[in-house]
Formats: sequence, C-alpha cells, structure tokens
Amino acid sequence: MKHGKAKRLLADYAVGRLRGRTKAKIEQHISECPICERELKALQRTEKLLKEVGLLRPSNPQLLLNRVREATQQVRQPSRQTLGWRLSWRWLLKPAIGFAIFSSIAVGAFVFWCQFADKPNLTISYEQYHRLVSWSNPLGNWIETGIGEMSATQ
Amino acid sequence: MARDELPDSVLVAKAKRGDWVAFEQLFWRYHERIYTFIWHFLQNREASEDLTQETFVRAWESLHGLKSNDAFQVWLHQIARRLCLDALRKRAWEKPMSDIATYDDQKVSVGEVETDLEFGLEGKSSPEEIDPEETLFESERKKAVRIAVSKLSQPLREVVVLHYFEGLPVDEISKVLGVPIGTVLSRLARARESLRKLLAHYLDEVENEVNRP
Ligand SMILES: [Zn+2]
Repeated sequence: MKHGKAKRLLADYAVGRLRGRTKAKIEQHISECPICERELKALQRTEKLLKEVGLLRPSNPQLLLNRVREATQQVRQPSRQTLGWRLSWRWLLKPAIGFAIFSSIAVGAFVFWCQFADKPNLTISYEQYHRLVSWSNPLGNWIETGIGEMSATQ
Repeated sequence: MARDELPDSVLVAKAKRGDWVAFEQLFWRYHERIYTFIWHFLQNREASEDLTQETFVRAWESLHGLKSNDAFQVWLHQIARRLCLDALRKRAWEKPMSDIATYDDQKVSVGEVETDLEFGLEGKSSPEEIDPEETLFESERKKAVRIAVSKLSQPLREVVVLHYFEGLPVDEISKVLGVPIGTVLSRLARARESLRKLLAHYLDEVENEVNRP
C-alpha cells in the first residue's frame, strides 16, 4: 500500500473499521513507514484523551429528579383510566379506517350510478299520479287538472 | 440482589406498572449520560437541565410505547436527541439571520463554550467537591478536549460523546442514530482525525503508549 492511501485510511484502521486484506496491507505499510506509525500513535493518544473526559453532572440531580416527579405525577401522568381508554379504543382504529374507506367508495359509486344510469321507468298511471299529487296538495291538483276551470265555466 | 443492581428490563417492567421507585432507579442510572449527551448539543447548563428533565418526563409518559424493555437506554437517547434537534431548530429560527449560519454549522465560539465550561465542567461547582486526586492540570486537559469536541460538526460530535464520553458500543450508537454501524465507525474515524489536529498540543503530554487495535 502506498503512503498516500495508508495515510487516508489510518483513522479508519484506528477505529477498527478495516477488515481482511486492506487491514493486512495497512499494517504492513505502518511497520515500514515511520510517518504513518507516528500518525497512528497520535490517533491512539487522541482516543486516550477522549476516554478520560467522562460524564458531566447536572448542578443538582436530586432537584432535577424532583422536577421530573412533579411534572409527571401532578400534571401529566397518564392515569390508568386514560391509558385504559386509549388502549381500549386503539383496536378500533383500523376497522374504523376500513369502514370509512368502504363507505366513501359506496357513496361515490351510488352518486355515479344516479348520474349515469337510466332513470327508472315509472309506470304509474295518470290517475295514480294525480291521486298522489292531490294527497299532498289537493287544491293545486284540482286547479292543475282543469277541474277548477271546468267547474267555474259550468 | 440490591435494587440498584436490577437490570434495565426489570426496572422498566416495574415502571410500566406505575412503580415510580423503579423509574427513579432508571433516572439515577442514566441522568448523567443524558445530561452529557444533551449538553454537547446545546452547550448551556440551564437549557440542558431543562431538556434532561423533559426527556425523563416523556420517557415516563410514553413508557408503554417501549416494546423491548432491554432497549431502554437506546430509546431514552432517541427521546433526548429528538428534543435536542427540535430545540436547535427552534433556536436557529429565533436567532437573527447573521447567527443562523453558526447554528447550521453546529459550531459555537470557543469563548461561549469556555464560559459555560467554567461553570459546568464535571458539575463540580464548589472546590471541596473536586476529587483530590484530580489535578488542576488534568481538569484543564479535559476542558480542552471538551472544547475541541464542541467544535466538531453535530454528526461527528454526537458519536464522540456517545462512544468516548458515555462508553456506548458502536452497535448501540447505530440504533440511537438510526444509521448503519459502518457509518458510525466512519464518523468516529473522521472525528478522531479532526480532534488529533485540534488537540495536537496535548498529545505530547499523553505519556502512556496505547496498544494498536
Ligand atoms: Zn506511510
């Protein structure tokens, strides 16, 4: 492996990202190249520096815990009842969505059918029709049929 | 077995049944990790404490949504990370235009970091709390490392914090971030290259030789 390529791959090697032949080749190069050996040591020392840093601590962990407890138990803790309600209704979600899709398809199909299908052939007689109309509006039907006029002329 | 030695999965199962004491144990186990993780996003003590609180509140509220009780640590970090990204987005939005570039690059001026580190490093606010074996020299070095890490881009910084400061294994980090293990390793490598340059001054001080991987 050439120095340029080895230098580019050194950090990947240092974090254990290289495998197989590439790993073997870079190890061979490092053993022969003092510059890469020095660079690898620098990367390893960087890791050592990073590992000794450790964790930060909040100013008052007990106070922080108290704040968490207040926020959860007094204000927003999901009660068993609410939770139960949520769980008991969750199973309905999928059937409800299915039903909504089915009903919109059904309504759409009905509207389509109403617009384009042949109108039903209403075979009621003249007499039947006027009986219907006179039931809903007796006076209107009387005038419409000309009975009014007839009786007026008579 | 003492209660604080119980594995996460047992404590999570108890907490799911409403056992607050079990949840407290989880808080004591993880609050420093979560605080550290958040601090390296926000670099501000007060904001980080607020988000640490919010992380545990959300965890308690949505504990029933956690499918695998073993995955608590990863899940908790995911909650914290989402809150941090939201906070940064909000902060970038609220900042005047001239400052947005700074937050887009996720870089913070050294001065700002130093100010907060003076107050926040290791959380040891009074001298008597400081471990006597921890020399002033070492503290300075740790501080320098933290400042160098804060200069990294966010994707590199978060893997460094998770892996080196918190000690999370690479496969757990890949779950927290939702990226392949190879990506985590690649980011660790790039971060180490950058930090090697930023910390050049301190590398000579590291006496002990480190074995090759
Ligand atoms: Zn070389």
